[in-house]
Amino acid sequence: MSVETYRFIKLTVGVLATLGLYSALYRENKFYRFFEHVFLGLAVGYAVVALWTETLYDLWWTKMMGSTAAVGQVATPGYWGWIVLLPIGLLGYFVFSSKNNWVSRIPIGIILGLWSGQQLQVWFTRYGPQMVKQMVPLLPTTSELFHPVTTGMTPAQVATVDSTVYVSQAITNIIVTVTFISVLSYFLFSFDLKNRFLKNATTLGRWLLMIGFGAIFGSTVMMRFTLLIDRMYFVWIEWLMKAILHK
Amino acid sequence: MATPDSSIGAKLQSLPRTLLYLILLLATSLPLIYGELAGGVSVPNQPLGAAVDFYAALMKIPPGKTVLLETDWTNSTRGENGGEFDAILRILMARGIKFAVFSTADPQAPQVAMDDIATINALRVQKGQKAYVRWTDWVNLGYFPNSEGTLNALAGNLATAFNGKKDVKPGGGLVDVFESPVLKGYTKLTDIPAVILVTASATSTVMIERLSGKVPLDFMVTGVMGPETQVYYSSKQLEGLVIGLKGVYDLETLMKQGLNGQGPDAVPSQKYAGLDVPPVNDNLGTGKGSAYYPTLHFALALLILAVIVGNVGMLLTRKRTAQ
Amino acid sequence: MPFDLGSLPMAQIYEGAQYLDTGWFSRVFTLVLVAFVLLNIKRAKSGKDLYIRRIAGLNAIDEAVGRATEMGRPVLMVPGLSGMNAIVVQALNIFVYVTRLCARFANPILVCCADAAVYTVAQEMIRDTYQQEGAIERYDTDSVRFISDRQFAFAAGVSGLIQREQAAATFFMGAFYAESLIFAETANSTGAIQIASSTETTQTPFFIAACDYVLIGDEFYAASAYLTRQPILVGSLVGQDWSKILIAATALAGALNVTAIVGPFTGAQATFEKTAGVIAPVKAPRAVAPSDAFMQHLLQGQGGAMISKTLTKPQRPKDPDYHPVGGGS
Repeated sequence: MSVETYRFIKLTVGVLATLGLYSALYRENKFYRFFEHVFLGLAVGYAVVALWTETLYDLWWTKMMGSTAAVGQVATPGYWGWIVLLPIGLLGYFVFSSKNNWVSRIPIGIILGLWSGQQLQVWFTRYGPQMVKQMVPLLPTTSELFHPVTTGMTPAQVATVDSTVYVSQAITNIIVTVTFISVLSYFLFSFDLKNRFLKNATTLGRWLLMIGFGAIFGSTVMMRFTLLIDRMYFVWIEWLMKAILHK
Repeated sequence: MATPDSSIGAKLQSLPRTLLYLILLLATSLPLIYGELAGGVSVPNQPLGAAVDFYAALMKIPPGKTVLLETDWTNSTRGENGGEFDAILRILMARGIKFAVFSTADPQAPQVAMDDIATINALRVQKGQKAYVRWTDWVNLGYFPNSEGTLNALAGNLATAFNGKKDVKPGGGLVDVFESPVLKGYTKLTDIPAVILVTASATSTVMIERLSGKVPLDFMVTGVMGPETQVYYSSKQLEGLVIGLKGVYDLETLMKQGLNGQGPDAVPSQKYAGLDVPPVNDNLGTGKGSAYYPTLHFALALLILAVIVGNVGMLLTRKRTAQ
Repeated sequence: MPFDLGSLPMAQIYEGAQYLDTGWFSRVFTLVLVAFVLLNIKRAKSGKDLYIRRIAGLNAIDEAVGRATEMGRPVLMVPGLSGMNAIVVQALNIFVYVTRLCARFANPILVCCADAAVYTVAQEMIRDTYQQEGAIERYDTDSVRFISDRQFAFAAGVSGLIQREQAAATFFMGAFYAESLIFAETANSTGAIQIASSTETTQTPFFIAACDYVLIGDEFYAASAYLTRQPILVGSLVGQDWSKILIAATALAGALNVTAIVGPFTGAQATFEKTAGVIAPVKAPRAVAPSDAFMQHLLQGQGGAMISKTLTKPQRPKDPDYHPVGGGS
């Protein structure tokens, strides 16, 4: 089979699958269900193969056995210690034993422990820089309202302009700080909300959260549309115009 | 009280779904077909700062160096990630930067990436340019099942993290990737000028946690991940950021027009005053961003219209009920 | 902020270090937060009744199960897409509460999992719940199912299930991504009452738009702690509250510190700066930057400038175009 024919078959199957999955918009039907099952089956099949080729073989077997660059020449030595992972992993299968299924909790416990320990390690890397960036000047250093256009200025002048806090920037910074504090206060659960200040702060926090969610919503709707546009491009342009009509 | 079913308000609120889907289908198909027949439609665009930083960062990587390209997307998000991946490939290939592809999110991702590389390569050959050769110009490191473990290993030692991974050497079968011109001599993460992540999943957070501050990070994410990832860009944990279709269009605009250059179209940037970043002259035609972005406007206009119709309907119904 | 290609964060390279080295402060700060949590777990374990306010979403759970019982249709639960982690455990804790209600009213349940380990744990927790309620004969081994570990395959599978089984109440709790709206839309079309919570901020808006009740962010953990009253969960929650207050206070103190040193309304000039722990006069005259603040030094663990409020007139640079803003003019 020529590459062209293969490509054409691939595109056509893709178009059929796209139509099949979109047919659910009309109503649940057999055509949709067929492609749903094909999708599920393919994903499982792919994952099973990848489990051996990419996971167990590459990351466990090769590391345990070592690898050779040419015949008789060791590229990386094997580490037999990796064999310990096998019994730990196999403990998971005790879940099928009605009497000893508690054993299957051991590997889960190990995974949970590793995960928790790592979270402790990485949280400052993730949030530390954000806390630093949160520390912003709340009052302006000049009475000028806006950041001027720096086109045509020397680098030294640009640096001066950039290090000045203009009134508009100060207002932005205040909004950032108030949002941060009030949204955080919304998530305090061990206090009764009888305190009026706290109550107002949490209400403000909820409102600000909703504004944020609105922004996220808009951004995501754009993404969904893009995905649809891409499918339409696939069907009309890549398949119909390029593969069939050869435009 | 009258039955609400017959009122205009109720009708506006309950337009048949099938009709709405049909209109959406037309709104997303017709502009695409028109754009294709007309040879492209352009929309005025001012690239965002994050995309400008991304472009400038890539353009300063010396040719011949190797970047790590983590690809954590599949065809489910081709609309956004596909355009992003095409754009990054075109920049890397035009500048002669080598790359090593790997994924920590989905076993299918490396295959999807390879299909994309093949498509761009075919286009390059068609336009009389040199094809990017697997093994000498790029390697596929494959899929790694545990994002946290893999990136943690990478932070510690590049050679250990990818130890034992093999790729196809032309005429030589499967050979250790560190033998390839792409990764030969690279032992530490700090030897790598940048790690680029094209993602549709939370691996972006894992990468921030494990690699930020150790190597320059440049992310290309989907629109839905935009707001959360923007935070890391603002706090300078990321060097550059491309978000969704707008990001792709920004990047394609910069690739076409350059930054602060001499041409009349060059995108001006105060931040990069005095630094001329040239356009990417790969002559491969318009990318997915330019093809999709004008159509997105029709879809969004339709959405706004639907929101207005629904709200007018609700107001009318309320007014009627109040009477 | 001026952008300088040389001053990007990666200019500081921490070779071989597995986390970002920010000096002693980050370690002490992290340890303090850990201590807050541990201390409160200890308090909770010692029998002290720690207060947690009842969040409104909890009433919605009882209501949803009640409605499903009236309609005689199943309750469907999804503990998110992630692998086995703390988020899933909290989701399953809430599901145990839902299952308990369902077991009492003999209501069928369905739990859909996207991860093998989660599937195992869920199966066990659900079976235990039926046993505790003395209704093990009502436990259907098929009620906890593994669908697929691929995101959209899972989405397609679960939405198919929602439609075929005509679920009357759905609970989506845990880490959800792009599939959230697919679930919520499908369940909406079957008229199910939906209660959702995603630890992913980006998915919360969709749940807010499409579901009847949403537990936002940490409310999810609060619900789990409130329902189970387990000392570890309650103690953690209170410990986290203390941590949140400490973080807010640190950030606020930093903001005030920065505001004070940059010279409100007038601007201030930097005279000394601290580079790699060494204090030296500034090389070129410049205004005080937020990075010169003590609080930022503390968190970043690196150098910055020291200021002298008395020196308001900096040495003029040779560049005739240079005009300092604020104090100079």
